[in-house]
Amino acid sequence: MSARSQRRVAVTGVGIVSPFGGDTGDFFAKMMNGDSAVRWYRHPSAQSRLEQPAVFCPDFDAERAVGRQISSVTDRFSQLGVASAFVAWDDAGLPRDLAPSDAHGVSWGTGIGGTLTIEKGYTEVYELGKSRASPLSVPMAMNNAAASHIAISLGLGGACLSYSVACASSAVAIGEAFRRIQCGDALLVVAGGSEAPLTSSVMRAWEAMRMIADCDERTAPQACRPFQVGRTGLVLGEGAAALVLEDWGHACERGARIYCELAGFGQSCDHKHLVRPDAAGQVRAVDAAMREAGLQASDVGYVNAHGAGTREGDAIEVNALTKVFGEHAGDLAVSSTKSMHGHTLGAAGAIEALITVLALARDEIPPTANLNQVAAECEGVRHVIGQGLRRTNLRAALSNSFAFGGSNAVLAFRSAT
Amino acid sequence: MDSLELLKAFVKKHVDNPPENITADSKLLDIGIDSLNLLELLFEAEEKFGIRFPNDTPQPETVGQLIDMFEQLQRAKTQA
Repeated sequence: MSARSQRRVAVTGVGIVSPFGGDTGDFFAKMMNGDSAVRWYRHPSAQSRLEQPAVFCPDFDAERAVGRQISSVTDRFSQLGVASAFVAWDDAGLPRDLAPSDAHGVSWGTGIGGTLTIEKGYTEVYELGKSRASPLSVPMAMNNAAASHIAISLGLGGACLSYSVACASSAVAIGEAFRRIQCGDALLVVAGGSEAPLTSSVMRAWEAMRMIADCDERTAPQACRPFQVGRTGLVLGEGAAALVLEDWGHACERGARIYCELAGFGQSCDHKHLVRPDAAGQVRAVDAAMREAGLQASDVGYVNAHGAGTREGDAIEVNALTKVFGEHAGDLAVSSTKSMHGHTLGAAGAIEALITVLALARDEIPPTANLNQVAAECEGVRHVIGQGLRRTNLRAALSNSFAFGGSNAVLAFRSAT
Repeated sequence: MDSLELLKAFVKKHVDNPPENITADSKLLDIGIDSLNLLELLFEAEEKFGIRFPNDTPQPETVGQLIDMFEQLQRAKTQA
């Protein structure tokens, strides 16, 4: 597919619910500084002691962010999602009372949707012996609730779609939104993802897979160490991020500030194994994104890696990047910001796309936190260590999302100028 | 807590800018009670007063109609 035969897509708004509690600018500054939002999380109501490193948003006030009317009938994943969409909408210079339009849509990602609501329902029925479930169980738990609340709140009358592709959910949501604008089905799409996974059952499930990083209360902020010698795993997180994607001409006509262009979207399936990633599948997704964006290896200055911090996954991703970038790999700046904002599952692709967009717009590349000795099997690219890089003349960047199930999604962004 | 107090407390908890004056003539939609949070309100009333709304309960439009429904079921429960 050639980008030149399609409509171009601008990123005109970004929004995040930051685990640090500040705004988008503060969040990005924390990323540039290598600040970790990982803390020791004690589950408040688990039957037996349940503690893990995790990223959570303790300052998030749902009622203040989305209003009582929405907060009282929604799961936390929807509240986080609507809040991030509102921030992105405002950031795009769009009034909240803009006339409803069928040319505007939603494209949202979540891995496990209303899992807090589902766990609460199970607890009430099976543990507390209640004979009745809350009548809001279904509308709160359903995976498309966040997307629909965004559409209702902002008058978005076009397609309202939700994607559940494990840890690539919101990268796919952004990529599919890109497609809808490219082909002329939509002029503007609010695209992103949200996740609120810190239920006892989800925490136990990841613990059972032996994928949660080892640490204790004191060392939790340094628990997630992508590409590091002796890395021990990932850290779960809750969060949400949204982008406003817009037809380029539409954005120019209304005088919108354009952060950058979303110029390519590559997808593939490893078709090998459910949970062990495969470099060949990742290579195909990266290649496809770069090809569509018209990028050569030497054009790309930064890759926001999937980099969850697992023993196998990090090495396989670096292997894929060295295959794609060849002789340029050694100069390619790579970082995994999951070291700071954790693995937010279905929201991860959106949070990392937002970081990639801001990296391009500001010409600032955030580091991998907690990385001081790159593992031999992760060598071959230019790991960003310590503080972020500034003024690198960044012109194009990729955001990788590689999910369980072997589903790969890569977004390619180009500088607006 | 009587039915009207329960309703007022619910509105205060669930509705942005809850209206000061809620009367029997107030339309439920006007005070922020739509079909979704009405489900929750009926559930709360059932739990609070030990009553059960039948599935074919007509959709009330006003506060007065809703309170009548609550009170009819409470009376029926007392007489049973």
